[in-house]
Amino acid sequence: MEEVDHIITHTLKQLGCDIDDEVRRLHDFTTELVVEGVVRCLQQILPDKNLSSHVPPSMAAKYRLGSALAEACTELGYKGEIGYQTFLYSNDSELRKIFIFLIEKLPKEAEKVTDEPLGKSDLLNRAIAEELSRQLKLPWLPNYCKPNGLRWSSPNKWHREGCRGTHALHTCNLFVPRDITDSNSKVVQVSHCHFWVVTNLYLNPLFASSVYLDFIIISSHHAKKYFIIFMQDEKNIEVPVTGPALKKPDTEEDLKSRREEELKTLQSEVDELSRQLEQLELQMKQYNASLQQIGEQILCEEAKNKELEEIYKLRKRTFDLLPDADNNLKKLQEVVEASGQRLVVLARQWEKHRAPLIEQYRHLKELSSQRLSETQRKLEEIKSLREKMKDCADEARSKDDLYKQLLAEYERLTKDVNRSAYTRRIIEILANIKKQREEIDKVLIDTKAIQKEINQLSGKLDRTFTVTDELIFRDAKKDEAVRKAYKYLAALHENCSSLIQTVEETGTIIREIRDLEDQIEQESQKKVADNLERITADYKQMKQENSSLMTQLKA
Amino acid sequence: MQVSKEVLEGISLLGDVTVFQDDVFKQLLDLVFEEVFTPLACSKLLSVPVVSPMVLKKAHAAVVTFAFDAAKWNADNLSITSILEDCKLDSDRISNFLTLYDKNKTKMQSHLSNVGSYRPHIVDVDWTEHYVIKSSNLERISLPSYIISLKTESLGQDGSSNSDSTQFVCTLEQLQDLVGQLKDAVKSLERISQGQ
Repeated sequence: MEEVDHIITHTLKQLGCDIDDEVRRLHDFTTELVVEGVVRCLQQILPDKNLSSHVPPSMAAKYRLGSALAEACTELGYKGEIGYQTFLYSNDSELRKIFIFLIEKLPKEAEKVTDEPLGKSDLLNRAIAEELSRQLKLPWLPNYCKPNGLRWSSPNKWHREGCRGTHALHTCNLFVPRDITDSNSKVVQVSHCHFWVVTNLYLNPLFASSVYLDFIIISSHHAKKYFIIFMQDEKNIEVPVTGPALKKPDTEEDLKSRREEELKTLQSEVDELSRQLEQLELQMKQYNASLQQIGEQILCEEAKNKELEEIYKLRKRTFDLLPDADNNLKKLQEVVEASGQRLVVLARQWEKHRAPLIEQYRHLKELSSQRLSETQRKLEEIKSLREKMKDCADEARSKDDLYKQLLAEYERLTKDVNRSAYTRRIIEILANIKKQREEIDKVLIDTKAIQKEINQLSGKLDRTFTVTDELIFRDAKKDEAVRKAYKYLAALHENCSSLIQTVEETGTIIREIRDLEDQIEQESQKKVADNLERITADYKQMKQENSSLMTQLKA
Repeated sequence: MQVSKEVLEGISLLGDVTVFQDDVFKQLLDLVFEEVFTPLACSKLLSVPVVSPMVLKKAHAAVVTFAFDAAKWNADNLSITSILEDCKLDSDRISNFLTLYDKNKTKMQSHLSNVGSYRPHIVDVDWTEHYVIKSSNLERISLPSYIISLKTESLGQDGSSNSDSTQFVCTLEQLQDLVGQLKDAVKSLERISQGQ
């Protein structure tokens, strides 16, 4: 019985009842605890029923709650006798039966193990729970101990507690040079122009007249781009303020006009030169083109020349042979026949050579194609093996993850239920029951055998008695002694039968005594006296409440 | 993780062996990860011996942007390797970058977390309990009242933190309500942390 109570208390604790640890047996359950337990079970089984789990103080409400609970239990199919009294004035065995019934009816999903813990939202929730529990375990730090508002916990993990050092988003553009087409060119390419004239840079009144700019023009024939580096010749800078005047100090306008004239002349010269250069280049191009043409013509002419030479040679030979025409004809015919025969011989030899070579060629081709197909097959095998390896690795990884998660969950689960002890007890109890059943069967067989014997014997007794009775009665009319014997026989029979009757009555009375004792025990368990006291007290309370309500109504 | 075209161009410059020799590459990488945390190290950038300052500037900008983007996206080594391989970096340069990145990743992320707008953070509380005897409106009030002052630290305009305080007055029931709500918040956090 203790294990049953233990199981019941444990299940109720899992459902969320507040049960103290000292309450171990159902005997110690108070009414409130009973009501709370039953209500929680009912809430699990029938989630849409709305029952409060507290016992209200007024008697009428208590009665109503009890009858509601009793109704719910009967709805679920409880076969025993149940009413409000089972909850308010409870006794052990009935409570046990009700709790066992309710706990059996609890939906089985309440004890399932989560079997798909790898859903992404589950993983995310678990990660969140872990991070939060880690952060909650850290002790409080004052805000000046947190550099920049961050809290560093040992293995390189941080989280933010506080807003020191934070700032709003502040962007600035990063200017990066573009258009570097050839990273080997060291100078930025300038567009097609001949020169750069910097007019205004050095026409500063501080600098004297004789500042010359030197231009160096580098031209490359391929691309026609001009890379220009300009240098400044610094030797001729004169500051007119400091040094003694070596020349006559000209006025500014004169200087300007002179400079401009010089610039114009120089510009015109440069223009001329560049024009000349262009022309010369054009001419050069033309000459090159004509050179090429002439070269091609020469080649053509040479080819024609060769052909004509050959034709001439042929004609000359035939002309030489003409004077001795017949002989030469015969000789030529013989030569032609001989060459024809030679051709045939050569062809035969070539055929002989050709056949085995062709066979070899075919053979080698087959070998190579076989090897190709073999290599293809091996490639495909390798591919399939690699895919299988990847699959196995994925499976192994997922199983590892699952294992780690289940291990973490298993460690988290509380360990106050010892399943193996229960299973052992259950198996022992089963063995006991089996033994008891065997014994009961034995006893039943014995009883049947005894009953059969009794029937046999009583049947025998009746038959012998009737036989002796007849026998003696026949002789009783004649003889006195036989009449006496007959009377004795009758008395004996009566006494024996009365003895048997008394024995049977003793047996029944003993059985009745046993039954009555059982009943007494049962009744004593019901704690009738206690309950009667409580019922009378509640009844008085109800009467008081009724009278107070009546006075309130009348007032 | 998405990287812009200019950054990719800059990183391809970095992978070019003719432009950046191995030791120059290492120097640049060290500099990049160091100057993230100590801004004064920027001046050392000028001492990196590269052919042209434009190339240096572009490559440096690209590396800094890429490293911070990777930290922001919490990119794993695989995606970083694939992007760097697309930019034709060879494997030991990639492994150099990855070791430095792994070493400095948490610091970079903690620096990046400084950007944002946060509410003022409560660090301290001062309370006084007063007993009100009477006031101009009522002849006899004998009730306690509480003055609570919450000290907070918040962001200033220029990024510095300054401490403020928020004061309010409440009656007993309001204070109980506040405390009850705080306890509810604590309980809900604990419930989440237990995974329910």
